[in-house]
Amino acid sequence: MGSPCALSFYCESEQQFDQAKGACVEEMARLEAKYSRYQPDSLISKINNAAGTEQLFEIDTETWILMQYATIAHRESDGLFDITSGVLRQIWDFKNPTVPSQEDINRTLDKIGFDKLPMEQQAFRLPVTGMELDFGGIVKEYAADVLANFIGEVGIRHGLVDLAGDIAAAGPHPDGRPWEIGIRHPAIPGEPVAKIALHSGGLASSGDYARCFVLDDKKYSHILNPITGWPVEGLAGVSVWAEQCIVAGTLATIAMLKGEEEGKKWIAETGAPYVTIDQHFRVESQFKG
Amino acid sequence: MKKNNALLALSAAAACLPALQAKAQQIAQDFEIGIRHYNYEEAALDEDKVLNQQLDRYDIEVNQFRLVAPLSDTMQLNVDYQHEKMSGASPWYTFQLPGEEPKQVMSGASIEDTRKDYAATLKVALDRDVLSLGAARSTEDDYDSTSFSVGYAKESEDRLTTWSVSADVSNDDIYPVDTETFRTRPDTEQSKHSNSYLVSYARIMNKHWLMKIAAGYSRKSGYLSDPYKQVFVTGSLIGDSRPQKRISRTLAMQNRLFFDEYDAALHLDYRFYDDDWGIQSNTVDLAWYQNLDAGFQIVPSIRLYEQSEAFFYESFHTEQRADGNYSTDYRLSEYGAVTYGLKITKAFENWALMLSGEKYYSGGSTFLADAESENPALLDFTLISVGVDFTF
Repeated sequence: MGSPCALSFYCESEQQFDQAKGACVEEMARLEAKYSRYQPDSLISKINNAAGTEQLFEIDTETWILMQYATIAHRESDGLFDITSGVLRQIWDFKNPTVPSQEDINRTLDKIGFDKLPMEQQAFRLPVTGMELDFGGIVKEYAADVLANFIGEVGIRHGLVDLAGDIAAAGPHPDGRPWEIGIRHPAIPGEPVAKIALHSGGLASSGDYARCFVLDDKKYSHILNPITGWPVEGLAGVSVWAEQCIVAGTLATIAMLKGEEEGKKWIAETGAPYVTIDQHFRVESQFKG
Repeated sequence: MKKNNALLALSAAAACLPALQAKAQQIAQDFEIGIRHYNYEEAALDEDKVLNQQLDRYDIEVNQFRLVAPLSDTMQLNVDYQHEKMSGASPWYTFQLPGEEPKQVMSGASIEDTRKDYAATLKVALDRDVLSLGAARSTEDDYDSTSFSVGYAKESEDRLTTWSVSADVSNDDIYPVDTETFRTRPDTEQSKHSNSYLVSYARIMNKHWLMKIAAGYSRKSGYLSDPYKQVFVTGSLIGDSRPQKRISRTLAMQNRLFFDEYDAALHLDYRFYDDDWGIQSNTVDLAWYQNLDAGFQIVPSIRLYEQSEAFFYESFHTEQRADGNYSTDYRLSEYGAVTYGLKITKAFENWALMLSGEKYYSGGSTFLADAESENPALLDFTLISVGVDFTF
């Protein structure tokens, strides 16, 4: 996954811990092999490499249900949450800050659009050459959920899975205390803007403070709108709680894509507990307790 | 504040992800031991309903012990033992003086009896299939019963629905006591046989609603009368005499509704029963499971019940019946009942303490019942229970 991950479990024995850890590492490897765009023989890479050709793929149940999930996310976000939008990163290269031409953007937009996909489980293909599926916005959160679920199955009732900020709790501390999660301040490292007490469920964050560039006094966020092709002038960060980390992550991503004011309004309307940080570092929190 | 359904829609979609579904914990993770003590006390009868000044009724002390032992990842054994000590008097027969309501004649001497129940169930769970096999035995001084059961449950692939079927056979033998003194009691061993079948369908409708529908069928045959009850008819006392066969059907619906904002659950159950003795009954159960801080849970409940009477039942028989069936047993009469309950549990690290009380009132015109002539032996009782559960 390429980011620091931490697993905290309360175990009854060394053996139980080893079993849990082993299961987690194995599970992560399985998901990586299946969904990583960086592994040339992953399912996603194979599908992406065959984009625009007549080659058809049969999609396994897990991937298919993730696709269904992505369909719902696409619909609920009015097209903003789109797992085909990854190609925008080819023209918005945050390592070499330049602003692409509108022509480049339009050409890239032709390769984007979840609604262009033939939703056929037995015969799936990407219809446009250069089109790409990118589960990056889903699979890390999903993995956190999967691991939290996994350790529950080996009998661990008190644990926390933290995959680089995508967090899923498998029960509170043994004495019932919640896990204290600090929400990063966009500008001051190590200074949390908010502390969230996590008993259960998942917490996911999205923000533009990790990767952005400034050109001619204008800040370009790495949060890219798949409909316009331009970076979003949105919130500095948003953290959301939901029963599942995958849901929390999707809600946070959509809130970022909606832009600052609309994003704040929309996330409040979902009814999920959240913390938003705007570009002036104003914090709004809707967490109980 | 909630104005859009994104959270709900996404949660529903995520719930379908196979790796996120809690592996149904069909098999217990830990050993569990449960101990319960019950004190059941029937209220004394009103003086004006009893003919022979014997007003006190049954008291029962029950001790229950349960062990749940996971044998492996796929197998679990449940063992139950129950010991009951009963004492008191029970209704014998009714008698009606001209121009008065029927009155109850109670068994004079105090009856003492001990009952022991043993039951074991083996559960084998393979992914989405659960097979259970059970055997039970129950013995009293004058009675023993043996039963076997088999059940199979299957979960759907999305784990949102569960179908289950079960079948149960039992054989009861009864050897009435004091047959020399009481000539109405059969002086030979009597048996009854029973088969019952149950089909149920449970579905998780959404995050906050779980529903179960069950249909049952049962067939009993053999000696179904109560050897200790009598009937006074046209000047003589004869034994309680019921048909040799009884077929019953039940239809039940259970709902569990969860309320996040109150951290509570509402249980709402309804059961319809119908048999070929002419008894139809309706039961409504309402319970509110309120979680509180510090591991406390408090459960107030109410149960409403009403039934029609059996075709051969009378509060007092004034005429002979062609089919030879007679009974004045209050349990076959038309009556209604209300039960108020309160249960408090407190969970600790790996054990829990529970305390509960129930008050039961029954009457000829309670709830929906509207009996022409109320059976004089209809009872009220109090049930108090304390218990502990350990997991290790």
